[in-house]
Amino acid sequence: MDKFSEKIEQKLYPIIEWVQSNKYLSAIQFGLLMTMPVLLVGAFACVISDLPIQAYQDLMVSIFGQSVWEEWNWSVVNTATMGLTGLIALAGTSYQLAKFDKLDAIPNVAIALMSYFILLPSAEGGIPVSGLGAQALFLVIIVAIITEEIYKLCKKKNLTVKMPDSVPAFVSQQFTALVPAVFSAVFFLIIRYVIAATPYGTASNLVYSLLQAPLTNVGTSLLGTIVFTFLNSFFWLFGIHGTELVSAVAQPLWYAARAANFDVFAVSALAARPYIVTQDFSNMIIFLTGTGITLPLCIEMAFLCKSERIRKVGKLSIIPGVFNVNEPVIFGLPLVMNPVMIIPFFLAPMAAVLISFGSMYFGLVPYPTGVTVPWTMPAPFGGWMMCNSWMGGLLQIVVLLVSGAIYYPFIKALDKKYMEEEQQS
Amino acid sequence: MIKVLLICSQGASTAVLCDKIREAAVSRNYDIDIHAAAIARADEDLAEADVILLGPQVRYMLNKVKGQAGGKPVAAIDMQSYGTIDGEKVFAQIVEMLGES
Repeated sequence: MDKFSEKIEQKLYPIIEWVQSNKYLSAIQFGLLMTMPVLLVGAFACVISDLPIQAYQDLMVSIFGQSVWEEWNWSVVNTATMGLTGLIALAGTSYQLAKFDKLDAIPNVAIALMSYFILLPSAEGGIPVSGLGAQALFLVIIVAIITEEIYKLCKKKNLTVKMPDSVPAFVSQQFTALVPAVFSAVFFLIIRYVIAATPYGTASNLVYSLLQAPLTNVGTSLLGTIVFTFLNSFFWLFGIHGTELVSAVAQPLWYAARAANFDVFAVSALAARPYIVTQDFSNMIIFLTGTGITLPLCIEMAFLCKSERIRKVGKLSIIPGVFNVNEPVIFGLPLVMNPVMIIPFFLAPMAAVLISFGSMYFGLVPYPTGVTVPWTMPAPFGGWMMCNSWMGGLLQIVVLLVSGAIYYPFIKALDKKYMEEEQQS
Repeated sequence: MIKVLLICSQGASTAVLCDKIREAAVSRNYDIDIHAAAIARADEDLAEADVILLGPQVRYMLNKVKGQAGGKPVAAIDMQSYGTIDGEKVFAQIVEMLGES
């Protein structure tokens, strides 16, 4: 087994290194990561403002007044948090792209912001707020990449305004960015008017219709989700951080799906939301208690097994597992390249996806609302927060029970094997 | 003072191990400064560290980090001691790495 796994590792490493050090993928991931604190503020504001307890709602209205209590979250906080996902991702992505090429990052961010606003559709009374949210995610990524390429090219061709040496560095830096800023402005202005002549009208609409929506539809379909789930387990089987790799590709799609659901939820909590699989579905179902849905396994290890080694690793792994971290059991049992545990390690998350997708598809559990759930949120609270319904929490409990049943015969077999080894030594 | 940088994917799973390594170091009267960093942000912390360790889940970055670390000792933590959060064993590894450099 060791020789075989080493051989596969040799083949896998270059792929993984490529994904991890890929300029564009890592910059997009960085950009999305930047939205996290702000999105969480928005999510908790939703929970506080919409807590479905009438006595609480009445109390809050009596303290703050009807109008303030109705608008502070949905019109104020969420416009400034969820509503700015695209803008923050733009800043983060272009910052990281510039850092990668060792360019001045902040001037590059400034140019990217300018370019993006040139593309935004005009609205009465200024800039449309809707253009700054996650619906614009793909456009934002494209703008960030193009502006940075223009910046890099200008720098390479020495197309910059040279200042005499007596000018302080921070002043001359601003002039270095002047030429790429002009080029970007002209470029995006032309693009804006070219697209205006097409039936799509605006860049956001064009990118959304041709790229974002179709890719999101495919990536979040049942088949797409099964593929991502399989790849995640597959990489972890070799002890490689599969979640990081799968996320590099899937996260923009999951974020886009989350945003599409949230836009509907913000208008009406009861309206039908478009996507089952979102960023929060992935965290609260596919990666629930860590890859392989291992918390039930850890509990079985700690309390139902006899081998000292298995019991010890099980006990160590329960608390991290509750918070959706499971490296201890992955490396401690180990699940990595463990021939006995391969089958349940793949089967448990697959079953979780099928059960969850099915129960949402057939209307037993509401689709995710699009509210951001922290990835460390324990079950069943995470499921509840994801669906704004206790059915979501119940779903997580069912998923965990099924996973426990899948692991049970295998961990018992492993327990027997380890026991024999321990008694011999 | 030994300055140790532990790199993992998000910095979450390694935090507990950090505490255990610190305990092991203190019990042997070593002065240690250890913290965990996410792989995406580790670049900036490399310069500060004397020893750099990678969690096994990101060990594929070993060569890249070695290249960036400019001759400082870099190694991956073995899966068993990582999985069982064995601070003693990892601390022994740190001491050994410093001895070699």
